[in-house]
Amino acid sequence: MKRLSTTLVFILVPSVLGAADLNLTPRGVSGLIDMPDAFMLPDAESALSIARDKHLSTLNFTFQALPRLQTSLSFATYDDIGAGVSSENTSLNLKYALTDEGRVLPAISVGINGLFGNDRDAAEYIVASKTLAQTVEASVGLGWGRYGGTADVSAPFGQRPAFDTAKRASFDHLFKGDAGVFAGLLWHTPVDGLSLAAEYSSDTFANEALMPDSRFNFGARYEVSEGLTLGAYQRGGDTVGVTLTLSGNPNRPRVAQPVGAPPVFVGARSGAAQTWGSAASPDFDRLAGLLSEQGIQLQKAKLDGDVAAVRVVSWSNAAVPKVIGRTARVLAATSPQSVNVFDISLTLNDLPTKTFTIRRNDIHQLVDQPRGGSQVLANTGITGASDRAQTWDWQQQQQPGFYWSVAPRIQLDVTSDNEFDPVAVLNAFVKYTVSPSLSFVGVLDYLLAGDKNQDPAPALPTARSDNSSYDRSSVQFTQLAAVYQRKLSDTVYSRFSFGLLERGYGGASAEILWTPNASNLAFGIEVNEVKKRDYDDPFEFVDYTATTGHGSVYWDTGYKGVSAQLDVGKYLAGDWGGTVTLSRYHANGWDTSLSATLTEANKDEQLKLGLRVSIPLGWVAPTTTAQKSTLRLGGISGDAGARLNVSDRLYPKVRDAGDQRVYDSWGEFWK
Amino acid sequence: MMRAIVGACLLLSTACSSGGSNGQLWKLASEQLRDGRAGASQQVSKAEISRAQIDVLDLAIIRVEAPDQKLRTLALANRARGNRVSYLTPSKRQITLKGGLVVATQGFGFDLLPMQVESNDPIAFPLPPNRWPEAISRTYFTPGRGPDGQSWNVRCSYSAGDMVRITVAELNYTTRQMIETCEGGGAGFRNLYFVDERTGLAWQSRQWAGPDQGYLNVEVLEPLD
Repeated sequence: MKRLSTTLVFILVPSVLGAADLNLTPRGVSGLIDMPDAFMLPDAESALSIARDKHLSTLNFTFQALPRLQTSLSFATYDDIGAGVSSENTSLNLKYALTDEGRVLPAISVGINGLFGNDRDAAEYIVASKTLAQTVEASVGLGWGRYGGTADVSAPFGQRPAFDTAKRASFDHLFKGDAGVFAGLLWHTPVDGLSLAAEYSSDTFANEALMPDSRFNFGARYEVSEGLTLGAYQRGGDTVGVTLTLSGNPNRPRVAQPVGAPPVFVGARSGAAQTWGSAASPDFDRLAGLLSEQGIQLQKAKLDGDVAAVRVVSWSNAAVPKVIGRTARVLAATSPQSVNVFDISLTLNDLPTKTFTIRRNDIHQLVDQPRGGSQVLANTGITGASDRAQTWDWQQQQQPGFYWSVAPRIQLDVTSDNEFDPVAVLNAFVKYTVSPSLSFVGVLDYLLAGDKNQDPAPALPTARSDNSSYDRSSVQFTQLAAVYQRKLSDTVYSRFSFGLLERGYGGASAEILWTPNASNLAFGIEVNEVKKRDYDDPFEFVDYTATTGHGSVYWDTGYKGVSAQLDVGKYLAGDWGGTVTLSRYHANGWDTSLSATLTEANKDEQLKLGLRVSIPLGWVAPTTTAQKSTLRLGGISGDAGARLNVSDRLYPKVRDAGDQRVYDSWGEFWK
Repeated sequence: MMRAIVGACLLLSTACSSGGSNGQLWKLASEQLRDGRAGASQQVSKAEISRAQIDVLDLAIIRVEAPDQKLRTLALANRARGNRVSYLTPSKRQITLKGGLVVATQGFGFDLLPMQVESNDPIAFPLPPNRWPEAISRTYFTPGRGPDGQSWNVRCSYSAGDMVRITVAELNYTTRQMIETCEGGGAGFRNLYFVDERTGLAWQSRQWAGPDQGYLNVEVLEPLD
């Protein structure tokens, strides 16, 4: 199968990524040259790397998922086809730190390359590493599978079964078979950014048409600038390769945080200015102006006894607690003395999400106090906000809104035809909002540069594998749809989309999302009735219809921003199955997720793996915009497990107001 | 070079859009360049003020330098709660001092959330150096996961250096150089204070403001009465 699924999509040119001096193997595992070491990367470190030599091309995404757990997704293409093995190999690699490096003892890690498959890249290892004289890292390890080719130790845990590329998941091969000993040194030279490595390899390249002359490999890496590392290596005696690594870390933004307006001063309650009038005659226009100075838009307001209720929205990338905290400060500093309680409701993406009930005295007494944030949170009630008609004293005039943007998107097909095919697409987005509930969305794509060849239409349309049959020579109407969304109750959201939903399909899509109060769980149901769009005419359809739908469970675990999602249902090709997605979210908006799909259509194949990284623009530029760049690897094409691409799904729109995320980012309350 | 690339990418990725984010982006970007790397000389001149100008202003004023951000700026006192005084820079960055101790910042690269100090902290509650305790504890808070962000509990000890004559905004002071060594909670840093021997006020200091922010240099040009 042509591997168009391995398509890298990134909006920002990768040189904006930035981070540390990284040493990654051609399969994206931190290590020496070909062999891994025992060290972990900084927590959440993310790297995109490419390696190329005459036998092998790889594209890897490496992610330090947890402080002790390193993951990498590696797409490898071999020039030759060995007996019983794949020429293209997708592997999920894990490395776990058993012990940290001590004064005397080394760091020890255990790892698995190719977690689910017993294919040519499958390898397991245990490795110890120690830093010597501050600049030299020495490693020694024992490997199985690909790392056991030298058979220095005869099958200590039993014989290894033969390769089985047809099995969707196999584990009986792990740590089985002969084991090989490997070792190496990495020297951080006095030349800033330059490191040299030498290793004694246990990989005999048994499945490649490569007869190594030597077990010694040599390599050099140079950090050209922060986050960009180039490398070269020689392995097996006569094979020379190059590497390129782009890296970044959510915890280390490339630029200083945007300054914006400082928060308003809150003094003693007795000194509150009562700027927007008295309880008898409140001036909400004045309040709207005060909030606007903070980058917050007042949508609705009322005074009810000693409660000031407001609904606000912020279009910036500010965390939810920051918007709530800024609003509470303005209310505390300017409300009539009779007000004791603030009910602050937050709108996200035109949907009312949560209401935060805050005691006014807490703001006056705890502002600027150490640990004041947690004390306010302990006294704050958080409940679902309602979209039902209420009596408000003041409402912002609703005007139809028109939003648009034009931006390039660069794609890199890294494995199709074993070549790197850069593609540049100009993407235009238009949205006309009739009301908070109803909008019309249009998306146009134009291929600026890249392969515009169009494959002939297939005799019978397929769910997704006929992507290359779509016309790429002219402007593409990717989306033209009406979207209606509304909150049905305090905790239930709904959406209905109709029209050309994505380049491949048009039709109707309906969704319900339930987010119970005081819970880290959310539940969704989506049903779609769609027809496949014509390969040339953007407003015509071909004879292929699909009824698809999924039930979804979303769980924010509360552990280091890790969340899980399970989707079970019927996919576009009519196959039933499920997708598990694990994500790690950072307060500044970085989101890295890995998904695995298993359906009845790919039960005899390897799992369909996909990776998605969303990088906020504010991480690379001094901006408060909420825009993000998205990088995707794998999981896109192929019929098995293909899912409809609906752009307005509910959970991503409201999850920032989820209880766990609010708790995690509450440190921004006073910011 | 990287800055130029970032700028180019920025231009590409937000080529055009409604809602003003593009204009805001460029405004912020140009401010960043002006305050930071590209305009260091301009910024230095912006951060200069004469004694005569200070006298005319008749306001508490400090000068702050964030070396890691290549930022140097003046800041005027704009609010006070007890001995906590918040200063605002012309570009709306905010720094809060308790006594002479930096206890919170906003906009100087990476924020420092309100700090917890003990009542015997000789920087937060100025004391003549000969009355300083051997050691004190502090808790720094920086943005991070959880309601109070990430906390850094440190224990700080002191050592006295030489008497040093310094000049701040055309006034000369004879000060005692005091070195504060702090460790704990995964953090380790060394602050430097030039302290008035009589009042304990730190006229000049170099203070840690978090693992990402690094050090800030603070000069008290005119203290709050």
